[in-house]
Amino acid sequence: MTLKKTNPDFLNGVPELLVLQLLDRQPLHGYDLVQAIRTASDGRLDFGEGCIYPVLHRLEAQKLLVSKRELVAGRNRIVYRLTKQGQRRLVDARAAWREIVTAVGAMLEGNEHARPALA
Amino acid sequence: MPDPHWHSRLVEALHREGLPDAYVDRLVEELSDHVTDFFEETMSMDARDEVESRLGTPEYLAATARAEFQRRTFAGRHPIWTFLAGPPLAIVGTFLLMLLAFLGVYELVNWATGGSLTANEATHTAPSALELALIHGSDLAFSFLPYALPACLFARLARRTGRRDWGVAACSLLAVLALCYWSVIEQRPDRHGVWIMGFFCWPGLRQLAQAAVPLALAAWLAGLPTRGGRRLIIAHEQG
Repeated sequence: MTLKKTNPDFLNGVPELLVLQLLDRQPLHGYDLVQAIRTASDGRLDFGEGCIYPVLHRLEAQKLLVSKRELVAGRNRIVYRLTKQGQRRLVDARAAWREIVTAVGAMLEGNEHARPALA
Repeated sequence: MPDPHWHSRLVEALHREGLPDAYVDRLVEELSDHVTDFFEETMSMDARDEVESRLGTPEYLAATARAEFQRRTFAGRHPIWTFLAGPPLAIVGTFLLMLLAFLGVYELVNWATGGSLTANEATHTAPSALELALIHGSDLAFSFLPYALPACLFARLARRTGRRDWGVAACSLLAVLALCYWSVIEQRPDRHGVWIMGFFCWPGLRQLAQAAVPLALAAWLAGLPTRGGRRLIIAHEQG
């Protein structure tokens, strides 16, 4: 298995992955991004919507996104776009997530090797 | 229009986390836009009560903002390396740079005075006033700058990364190291001058003066409220 010893982004990386994935399709502002996550997950991913902005700001500081003020529907908005660096990060994040899902899936299928020897 | 109570609690919580003012301003602006969008979408009289459950409590948002803000930079992610291992390295780096600058200035003065400095040294002549001023000035610079400059650097870094506590630790460490540095310039009977410097934990008045800048910056970081924090304090005092 190619997973690292620890997966610090196991849970922390989820909002980042969702944001990068959605912005890869089209530029969005914060509110639209939250609605897009809700729609894409059929409302199953529910979280404090305000938390998306600190994530966006960090990704922008890491040059994975760029932001620009634009007039959208008559209002001045901060619209986010993915950079080339962000696209590369998205490819890596997708691969890492699939590895984690595969590993957890194997665990949940409950093979005998995963059981404690004392049982 | 966001609920003023929720808005002011949010601003207060963000400042309490020690986040920079510019960051707080931008985050609050975007969250206020988000709330406006939410009101426009729901068109409900109860929308105002739902803001907190949809966006998160101000305390939760502020904690998230702080965690994300600190993940942005190396200093934020690795405070031990930056603020504890960094100061001794910064002192050595500053010291070496100053040594190079001192040698450069010495050569420049020597060249400008027609080689008088090297001639004095070779003939064991008493140092000139210019030479004494150069040596004593450099001694003062070496006593203060290797501690004061890194202290300014780490204080600034701590503010920019939202790691004020670590900035206090870095400046305190620099102050302790400044307390240990001593130097002495002696004129020997053979007219050879010696300049000795070293580390020894026996602080005197001069060592206390050397530690003053890092200590002052540590105290400033520990106690200084942000611009937004000051506004909140004033608003609280006014009623």
